[in-house]
Amino acid sequence: MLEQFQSPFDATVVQLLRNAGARIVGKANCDEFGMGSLNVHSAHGPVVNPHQTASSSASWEERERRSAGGSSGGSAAAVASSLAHVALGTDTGGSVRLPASYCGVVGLKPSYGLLSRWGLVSYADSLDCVGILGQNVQHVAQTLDLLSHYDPKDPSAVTPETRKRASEACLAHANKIDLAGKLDGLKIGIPQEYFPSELDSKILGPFRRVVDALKTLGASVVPVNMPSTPYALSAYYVIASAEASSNLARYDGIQYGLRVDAPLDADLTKTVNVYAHTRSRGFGSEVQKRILLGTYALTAGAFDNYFLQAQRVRKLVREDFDNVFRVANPLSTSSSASPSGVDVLLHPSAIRTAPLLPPSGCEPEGDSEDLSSYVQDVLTVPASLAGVPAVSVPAGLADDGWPVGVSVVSQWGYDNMVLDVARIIERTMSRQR
Amino acid sequence: MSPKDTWTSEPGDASNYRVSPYDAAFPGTLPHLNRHCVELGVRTAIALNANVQYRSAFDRKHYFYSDLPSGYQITQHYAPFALGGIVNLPHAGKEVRLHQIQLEQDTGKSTFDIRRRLSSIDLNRAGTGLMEIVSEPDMRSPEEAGDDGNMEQGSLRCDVNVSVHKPGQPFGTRCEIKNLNSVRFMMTAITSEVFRHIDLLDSGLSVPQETRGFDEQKAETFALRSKEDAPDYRYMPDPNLPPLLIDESYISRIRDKMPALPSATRSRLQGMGLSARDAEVLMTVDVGREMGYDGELGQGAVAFFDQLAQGRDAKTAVNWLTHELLGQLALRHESFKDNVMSVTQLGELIDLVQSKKITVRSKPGVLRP
Repeated sequence: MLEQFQSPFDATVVQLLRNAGARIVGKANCDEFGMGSLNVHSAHGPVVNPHQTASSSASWEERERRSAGGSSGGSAAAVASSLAHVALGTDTGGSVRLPASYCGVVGLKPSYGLLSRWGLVSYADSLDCVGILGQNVQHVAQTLDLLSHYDPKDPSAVTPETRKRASEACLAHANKIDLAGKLDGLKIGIPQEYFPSELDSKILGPFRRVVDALKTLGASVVPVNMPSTPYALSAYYVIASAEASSNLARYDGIQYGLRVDAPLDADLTKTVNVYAHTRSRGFGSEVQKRILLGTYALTAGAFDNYFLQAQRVRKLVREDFDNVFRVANPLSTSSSASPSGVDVLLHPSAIRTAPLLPPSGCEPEGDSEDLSSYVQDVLTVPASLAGVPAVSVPAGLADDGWPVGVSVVSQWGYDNMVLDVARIIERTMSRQR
Repeated sequence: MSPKDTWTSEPGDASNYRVSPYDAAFPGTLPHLNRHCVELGVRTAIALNANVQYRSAFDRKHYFYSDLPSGYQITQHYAPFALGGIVNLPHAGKEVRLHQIQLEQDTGKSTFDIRRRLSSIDLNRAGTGLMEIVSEPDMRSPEEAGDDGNMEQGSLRCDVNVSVHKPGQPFGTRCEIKNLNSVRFMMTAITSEVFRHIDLLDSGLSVPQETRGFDEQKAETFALRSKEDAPDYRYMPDPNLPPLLIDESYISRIRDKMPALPSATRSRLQGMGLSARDAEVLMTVDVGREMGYDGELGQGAVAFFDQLAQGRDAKTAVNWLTHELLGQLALRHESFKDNVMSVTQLGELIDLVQSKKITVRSKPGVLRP
């Protein structure tokens, strides 16, 4: 749809990187309009995971072709194969954290509203975040510092005052916990609902090693409940598809992008007849599927039962997070600090290691596709719905020799807290290796 | 809704001369609420006695049309910024209740060339702030709808709903006529629509509820779509724009710096000793004064008079202003904003004549070049 399109302006985040002297080495592959978990829905073909298992001596062509994850699979692969120190991606429901987990790199979805969305192709505005992938936590943290600025061009950007308030609260809390010393001030919650039956048991070994390591360092680890989690996935797909159906209405072949002319006998006085050919040809099947779902969710008959219901669930998911954290939500006046709460949540980033790519030439489309690629999102969409920061950090390898990521999640605005804890995990896990 | 200084077009600009990437719905662009639009909206709401809402929100109204590049219009469907309100019709001597006032985004303009089977799109207007005033069904005739109206500056368009009924019976089925852009066309459209309804009913048929357009050449309305074909606009809260929060101090700040409302100005002028006719002349000239898109008013005849009457007899001042100055402007086919004579110059002339420093045989002609 946008193959021949060149934007007349740079995204604010790209501009900030350029201003700071960063060298932009290229654009990365991703799922079309950010829709997908495996990076197979791309006009450029799938991204192959560059990870090489230690035992493998096979040449590149012979090697097992596994997915790099999606939607920002190209960004994760670029970082994992050392083509770049850091890469940007977009995270609407896990599209940065999942590829990071599959490829064995660090992937941060910052708090919603911190990084400007100006220049980001909208998938679902209320969920879209610019995410950062990096070879280590330090690179990601430095990039976050560089990009986290108020941008008046983004109407959902958080104001400088709120930023200041949140970062001061975060700093004060971090000092109280004393993350630099013994970790006996740090309280980590393991959400019980983040271990669905689909979770591959291979993931649990590396995850337990991280938990044990943190306990050894003095952190207290407690189980917590986030009762709305099972409903989060459905709510996410209703909201994301509804917003996508709206945001993608602009790709009609009139102003820019692909234009497929209507057949000569078409009745051109009806606008839809002019648009339909472009949209049918230009959008891939996954995108069309989500546009149709979202359009349905917004029709007068379905709006209450789908869209509004999903918004109610979203509110409950937010409350789950506010209830579980020790610190209050800087964005909410009704949220209060709960002394018995936890500082961060810890859970596996993905339900499995990188899955095999379908054999080349075989399209992953159609009814035969199982739901596992959607179920995967169970672990990542709650943080997206709540707008809270989440980072996936490598937790070593599973028994199959492929990377496993763990996610650290905290209260809105506590991005530095999740990065600090991620740094501790990174340090201890590298020592164990 | 785009930043006014950069992108808002002026009438008369060449087609697609002022189009930002946002107006053309380029990917990666985001909306920006223009504060001036909010201020003008609140000012209107105050003038129309509407209740400004402390919290309102923006929604997307979806439909595919070539003059709507993003495929949706940002409007206030679920929570408009002002509710209620009253408009006085001075000539009919009645009040029309308002339902609500909402802020919207304007669309582009499309013209269809039937001969070449070609649609031309002009996006100059796309994205500009728009205010929609929705009235209750309180007007009873085309004359009431056209009462005291001035839509000739092209900045006002209206959709009218027309129904007929016999005295004592409930309202008939209504038809909406869209996009009328002058008072004359609106009154003609209503009249023609009323007769169409009456003809249908007289021949034993019913009036189907529909949306209609107006053919200016034929002076009649034509069907656009029936109620069954009414599009589902799939209204959705806009996920980009935060709710619009307005507090009492903002409203009173705007109220304090509002220009006086016409009724107040009229009685003030008459209180200074002016006849109803003189006051009317000044105010009629005033209506045409230039109003910037930011709502800042140029100096009009009333303000000119106020300064001229400082330390002078009001009656004398208004006579010089209306008879001499306006008379000369009319002779030259110029409007008041073309006037080059300053208050000081005219004031000194009046003083010289009054103190008999100069004499004029017959006043008319004193200002003539």
